Amino acid sequence: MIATEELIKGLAAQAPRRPGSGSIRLAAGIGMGALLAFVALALLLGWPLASVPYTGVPAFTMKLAFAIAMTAAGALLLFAAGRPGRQVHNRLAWLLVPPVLVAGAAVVELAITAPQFRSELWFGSTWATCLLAIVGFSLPVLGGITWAFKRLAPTNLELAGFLAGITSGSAAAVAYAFYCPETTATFLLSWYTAGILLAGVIGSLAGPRLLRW
Amino acid sequence: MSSVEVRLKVLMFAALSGDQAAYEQLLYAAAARLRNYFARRLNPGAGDVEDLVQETLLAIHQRRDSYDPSVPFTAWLHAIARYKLVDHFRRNGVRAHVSLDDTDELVAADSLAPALAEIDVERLLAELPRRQRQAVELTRIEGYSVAEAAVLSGQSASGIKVGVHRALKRLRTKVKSE
Repeated sequence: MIATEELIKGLAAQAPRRPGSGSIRLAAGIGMGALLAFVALALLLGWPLASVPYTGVPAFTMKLAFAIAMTAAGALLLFAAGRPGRQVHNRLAWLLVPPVLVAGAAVVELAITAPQFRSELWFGSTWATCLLAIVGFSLPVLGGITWAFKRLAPTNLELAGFLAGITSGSAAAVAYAFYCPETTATFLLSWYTAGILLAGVIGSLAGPRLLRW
Repeated sequence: MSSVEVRLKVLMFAALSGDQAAYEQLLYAAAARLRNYFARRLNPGAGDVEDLVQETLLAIHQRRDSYDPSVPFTAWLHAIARYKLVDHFRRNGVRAHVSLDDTDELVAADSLAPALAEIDVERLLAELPRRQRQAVELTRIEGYSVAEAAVLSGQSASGIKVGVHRALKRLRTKVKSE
C-alpha cells in the first residue's frame, strides 16, 4: 500500500492531455457508433437513399432534421452529464422541443385527414421495422458512448445512462431516416420518438453497469 | 472568486496544459480537502479514509478531462468525492443517504450562497498581515498539516503555528468588537 505522497508524485509525472479532448472523444464515440449502424443498415436494407423518390424530399428532410436535432440535444446534455458540477436537470426540456414541433405538424395532419384513414397515418406499413431498427442500432452507438465516457465522470449514472440511450437512439434514427419509407409527421412522432425513448430507458437501466467508475 | 478558488483553478489549467509542478501542488491540495471530507463521514480507525483519498485522486487523474472550466474546481472535486463516497457505501452494503448540501469542507467559501459569515471571513482574512493570513489559509481553510503548510509557504513550522495562533487571536478580537 503506497503512501499518498508517492501516488501524487507518480500521477504528476504522467503525460499531460490536451484540454478539451473530452468533447472530441464523445463526438468520435457517437460518430463511430452511428457509422457502424449506417453500415449495418446498408448491408441489411441496401442502397440508403432508395426510398427518397418514393417519400419525396420534404418528408425525408423532416425525418432527418428531427433525428439530427434529437441527437444534438441529447449529446449536449449527455456531455454535461459527464462533467461533475454541471447542471443537467434544468435543461432536460430541450429534448421536448423537436417532438413538440413534430406534434404540431401531426395534429394538422390528423385534422385534415378523414377519421377512417387516420390509423394509416399512425402505423404506416413499417412501424415494427422502424422501432426495431432504432432500438437495435442504438446499441453500437451506446457502445461508442461507453468508450468515450471512460474519460468522463458521470455522477448520476441513471441520468447519464438515460441521456446516452436517448442520444444513441437518435443517432440510430439518423441512420434509419435514410431508409424509412414513411411520409407522415404522425408516424414520425409516434415511432421515432417511441424508439428513441425506449433506447433511453435501456440506457438508464444499463447506465449503472456500463458507466460506473 | 476567492483567492483559494482562483489559485486552484490556475493550478488546474496549468496542470491540464502539462505543468507537472502545478499538477503536483493541485493534487496535494485536493488530497487535503478529500481527507477532511471523508474523515468526517467515515468510521474513524477503519483505515478507509486514506484508501478513499487515494482512490479519488486516481479517479480525478484518470478523468481530468471531465473538468469544465465554468465550474469552480472545488465544486467539481466535491461532486466526484460525493460520488466516490456513495459508491464506497454501496460496495460495503451501507444504505446511507449523502445529502447534496454537505459541502462544508470541500467547497470554497465563495461558491456557497453568500451567507454573511463567508463575506466576513474574506474581509477579516484580508486584514491580516500576509504571513498570518497565509498560515491560516493553508492550515484552516485548505486543511494542510503544519508541516505541509510550512513547505508550501516557505515559513518555518513554528512560524506557521505562531502565525495561526496570532491570526486567530486577532480575528477573535475583531469579531467580538463588531
